[in-house]
Amino acid sequence: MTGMTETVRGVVRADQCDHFGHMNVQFYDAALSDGYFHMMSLIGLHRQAIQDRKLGIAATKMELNYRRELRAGDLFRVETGFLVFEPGRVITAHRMTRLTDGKLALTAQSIGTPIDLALRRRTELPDDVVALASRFICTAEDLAA
Amino acid sequence: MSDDTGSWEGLPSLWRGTFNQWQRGLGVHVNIQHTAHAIDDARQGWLLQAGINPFDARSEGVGFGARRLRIDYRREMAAGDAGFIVGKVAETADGHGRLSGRLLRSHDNVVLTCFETGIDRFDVETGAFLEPVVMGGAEPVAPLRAMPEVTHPPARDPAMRQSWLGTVETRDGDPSGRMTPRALFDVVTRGLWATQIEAGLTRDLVTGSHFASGVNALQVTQFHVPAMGDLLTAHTGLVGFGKRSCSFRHLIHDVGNDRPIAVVDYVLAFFDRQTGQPATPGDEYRKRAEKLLMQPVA
Repeated sequence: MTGMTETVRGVVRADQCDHFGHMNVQFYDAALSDGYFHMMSLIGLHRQAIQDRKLGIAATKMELNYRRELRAGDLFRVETGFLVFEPGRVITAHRMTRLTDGKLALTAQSIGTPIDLALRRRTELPDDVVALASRFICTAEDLAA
Repeated sequence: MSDDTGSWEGLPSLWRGTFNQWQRGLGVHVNIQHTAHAIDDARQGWLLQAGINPFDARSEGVGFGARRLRIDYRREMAAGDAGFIVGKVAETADGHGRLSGRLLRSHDNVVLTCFETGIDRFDVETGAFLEPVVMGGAEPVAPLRAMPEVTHPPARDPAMRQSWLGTVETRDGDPSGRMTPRALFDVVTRGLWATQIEAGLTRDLVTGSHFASGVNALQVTQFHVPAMGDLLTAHTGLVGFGKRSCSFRHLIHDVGNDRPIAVVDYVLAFFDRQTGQPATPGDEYRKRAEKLLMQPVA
């Protein structure tokens, strides 16, 4: 078990900021979405596999806790792990850190449901994906650390 | 995860992300401006790891860019691909102490893109380049594809034609209002498509015949960093036209201030989108494109 792993590293662009002078909430979510797809690629569900297996994991609920603001030019990192990874249910955890000073900027959790992309209906995750995801199981304490 | 001169394994990531649907270009693959953006993030990531905080530097009036950036595109990137960049200080064709990097696909560590870049300070007030960041401990790396040597802004060749004209928009600016590398590559993309479409490589041809082109090597030599609101123009000419590839050159110029901004050289490969194999353009496209043929470039 390795727990959370880095899934996004980048810089806040000026055009992602609003008139409050910080990154607008829509781009926090965009970063987490990128992190989520990055994590998918690490558990065997990379782009080609998703196409071939017609398998995805759709978010059904998400909760974000904003801790510190990110401003244009700030470097940041997103780490992602799984609080729960079962064939029928996935709870993903994200932690965003402002690298310019090492402060925690955001924590988030989302609930996902496996989906058959051909039938557009709920399905179950296969054993090989569950096995690969087990490397990234983390705890609520990891998330807040 | 290695090349012939050493391992890239174990290096800390300088950028990490996923390419999305909206980052696709007319050629279906991820557009080069998004690679340029990831490399710019990697430059800043390297600075932070080297103890230089680019956020603090900017508040003191200093930004970071590159006088010279070379990229070799090894494999096509598609929407949904996740990747990361690692880099090390290297001895390159451009000299000692350049950041040499690799963009690797996350799930199998396949090299997608190789690049070499300087990291140069610039004055955010004027956009003029200042002294480069000194990067010690350079080690040899495999050379990238050879590109023309550009030491000063070249004169516009009579065969070049205007391929783009526009201002640096708000979305093109960095936090200090200077044009980002991504925005410069956006101009390059638009200029390239304008040239290609005029030469007959239209969207209909691309989708109908499965004939496609992709940049497989690129070099940007930048002389000045434009500001939001600057009016820029791009002129494009053909350096050479081979059986399965051709080379273009853009000159990007600041019209309002009458100063050179950048020279962009690139090699474009033709391929069949269905098979992925190299392809040869038809005579009609070749005939029209060859009208842009410039005098030989050194």
